[in-house]
Amino acid sequence: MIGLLGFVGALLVTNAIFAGMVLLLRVRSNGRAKRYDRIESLWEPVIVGIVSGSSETVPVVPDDEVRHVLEIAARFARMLKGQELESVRRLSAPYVDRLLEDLRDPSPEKRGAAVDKISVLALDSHAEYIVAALDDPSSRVSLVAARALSHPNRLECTIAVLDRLHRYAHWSPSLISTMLAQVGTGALIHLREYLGDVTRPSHERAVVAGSLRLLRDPHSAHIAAGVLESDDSELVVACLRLIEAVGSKEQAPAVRPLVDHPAFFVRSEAVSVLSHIGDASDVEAITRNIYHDSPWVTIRAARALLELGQRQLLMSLAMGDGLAAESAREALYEEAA
Amino acid sequence: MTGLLQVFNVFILIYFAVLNGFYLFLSILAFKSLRTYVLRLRSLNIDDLVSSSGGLPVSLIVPAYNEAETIVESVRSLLTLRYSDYEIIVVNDGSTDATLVRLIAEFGLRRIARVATSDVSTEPIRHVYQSSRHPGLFVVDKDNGGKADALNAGLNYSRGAIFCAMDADTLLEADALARVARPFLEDTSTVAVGGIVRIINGCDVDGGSIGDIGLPRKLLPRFQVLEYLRAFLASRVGWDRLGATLIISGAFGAFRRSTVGAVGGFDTRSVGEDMELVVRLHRYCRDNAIPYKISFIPDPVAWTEAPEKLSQLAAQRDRWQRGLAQVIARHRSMIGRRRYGIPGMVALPYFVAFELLGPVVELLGWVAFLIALSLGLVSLAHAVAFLALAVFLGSALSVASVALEEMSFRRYRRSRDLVTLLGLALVESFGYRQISTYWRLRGLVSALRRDGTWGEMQRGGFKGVAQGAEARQS
Repeated sequence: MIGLLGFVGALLVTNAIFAGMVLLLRVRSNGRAKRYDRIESLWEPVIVGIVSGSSETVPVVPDDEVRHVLEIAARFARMLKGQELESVRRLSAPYVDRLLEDLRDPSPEKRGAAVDKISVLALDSHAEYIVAALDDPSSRVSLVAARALSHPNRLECTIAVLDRLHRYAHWSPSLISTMLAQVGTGALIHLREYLGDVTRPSHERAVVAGSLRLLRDPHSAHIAAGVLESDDSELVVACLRLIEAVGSKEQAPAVRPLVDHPAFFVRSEAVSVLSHIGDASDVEAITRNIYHDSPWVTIRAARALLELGQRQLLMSLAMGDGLAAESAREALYEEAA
Repeated sequence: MTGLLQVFNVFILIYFAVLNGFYLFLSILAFKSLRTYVLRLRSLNIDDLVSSSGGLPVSLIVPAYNEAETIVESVRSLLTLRYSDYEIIVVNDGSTDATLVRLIAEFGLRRIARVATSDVSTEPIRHVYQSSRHPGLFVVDKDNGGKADALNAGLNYSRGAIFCAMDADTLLEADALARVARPFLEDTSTVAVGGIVRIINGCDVDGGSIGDIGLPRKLLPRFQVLEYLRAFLASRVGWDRLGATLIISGAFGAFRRSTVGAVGGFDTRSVGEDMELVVRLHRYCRDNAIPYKISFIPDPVAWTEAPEKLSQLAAQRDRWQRGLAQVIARHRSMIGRRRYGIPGMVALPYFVAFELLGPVVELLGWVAFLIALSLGLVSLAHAVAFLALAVFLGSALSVASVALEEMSFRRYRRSRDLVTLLGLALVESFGYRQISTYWRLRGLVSALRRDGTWGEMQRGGFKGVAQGAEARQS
């Protein structure tokens, strides 16, 4: 009986210890939060003062508060530009080296966070660390670095980033396209060259086509037209979108054969492009596509007919039944709205 | 007879050990995952990532059946989400109350022509409406066909590459869409992502967003808070670490539209359509050798109202158990087959042995235990020791899930709420667990009888929830 009571008692005590550990965790977390709040309430006004120019002197950050202050400074820096950003960077400059040890941390998450903070607070003075992070074993860390380096002021890094595109193959192409486009028009030469380079993987060229579209580069339209014969549908669609955004009638002959492409997503994109760069001679092919069995194609075809001034045709189609009629009605409704 | 009883008791002991070992294993995995995950969130700025995503259009599908009480506030809340490119598709599933009328009046809806982009079969569509004030808000009005059918209708009329399925009475946090979209940006093979569902009872709701977070005033939803922490932070995070997420809650989950369209949408015959779809996605991708990822992530938060009445909770648990039984029956051929990887080799067998048959084994265990006790085959001391151990392990695992919450997201900031949760972890084994087991057992029996009903839950609405919070504070 005593043994049993002891066993039950031991279980109760063990459970109470577990619960106590959770409470201790809370006490510790509260302590940390309080400390952070105290540092924040102390340093936020200092940073605001420096940013607004009302305060010139930069106080020395106590050793044990450096990491918190850098965290707060990085948060501010993300929201600022120009002189205001520079003033936050000046404040944090003496302390950024403290983050370098995190770049050697075994945890990719910690390395990524360090790359992010260093690039926000001291990209110019610590660029070599960020460039080195492009080759970090973790593709996530590499991408954080690539995003930081994809900036108009870092034009010299564009090729380095482009050379690492294979590392971001599983990331969303639109995310990578947007990242590259952030370099600005200074990167156009490299991007055009990349798109036209048949030795590069199709997936990466499609990403680059997306960037050129975002940068609205009219000179890349003829390169895109030359790529339309590719077997890779993803690349073809990216090039069609580029032509749709920046192309002209000159590219129409290259686009026309694609309105009969077996893949519905290529066909729908081609129909859409022709509504912008095509002419009356395309009406027949587009009308053919309004009877396609994919709604993605029929909707694009209906909109294209409207763009090409075929309102009457669309109105007569809308009177009927089926997918073509529904698509016609949707296009007409959109126009009216 | 005595020998048989002894053998069965040994079986129960082994079952008990394996079950708790599994829970412990999942909790340890969850602990590791959450630690990494919290750090990872710091290395990638969510707002920055999503604002520069270059567009990952998301369609929010909100099935609504007799939700007149809450629908306007729900939609208003959805209109304030922080995400650059999303549309809201409310599917009025043949409501018999004023759901549609309220939507039309409140959001200035007008009938439009809109082509269905998928052809998943549904009950007839009456009309499609678009808001004149919010061009991204659509309402599909259709004949009643159940939640899965409504989701399929929404899927047909959605245009986003990703769609997010949710309940009409669920409140999403402002950045929930951005967070749930992140895995799709990070890995193009992602086909489904589940977010965490938390209980709204006891929280302040203001203008469709969550304010002060607190525990519910009533005991029943409080127990559910603990259950949800265990289910989401320990179990689902653990399964995700193993690459075997089988459940994405119907209250909040995001899916790649093209893949769900390819598998034929939600199964309208199943009352567990959320789990069924996820299992089918695993099956489809593995059968067709398609690289895929199905994840659970704990930071996109959806808040939902928990049943406060025993009868409602009983109906909900009954339905969950029936849903589980249907899913397992339908996909039984996946069980134990190598081609289905961890989902087929580990997760599904676990769900059969412990989630589906658990209540039966538990009941039989009690019966055998009492018989053995009365026959003197087991001493009273051993019986008490075993029960104490069972209670201890149950409580310890609940305490562990509270610890996981504490080390990661710390949503319950008041210390008294934390103490209450820990107290609940200690007492839930006395009554609540047993009644839960009974409901699950009843659900299993209903499944064997092929009962396909959903049951209804009376909504207090978010105002009602807020009133609950006020009462708690006073």
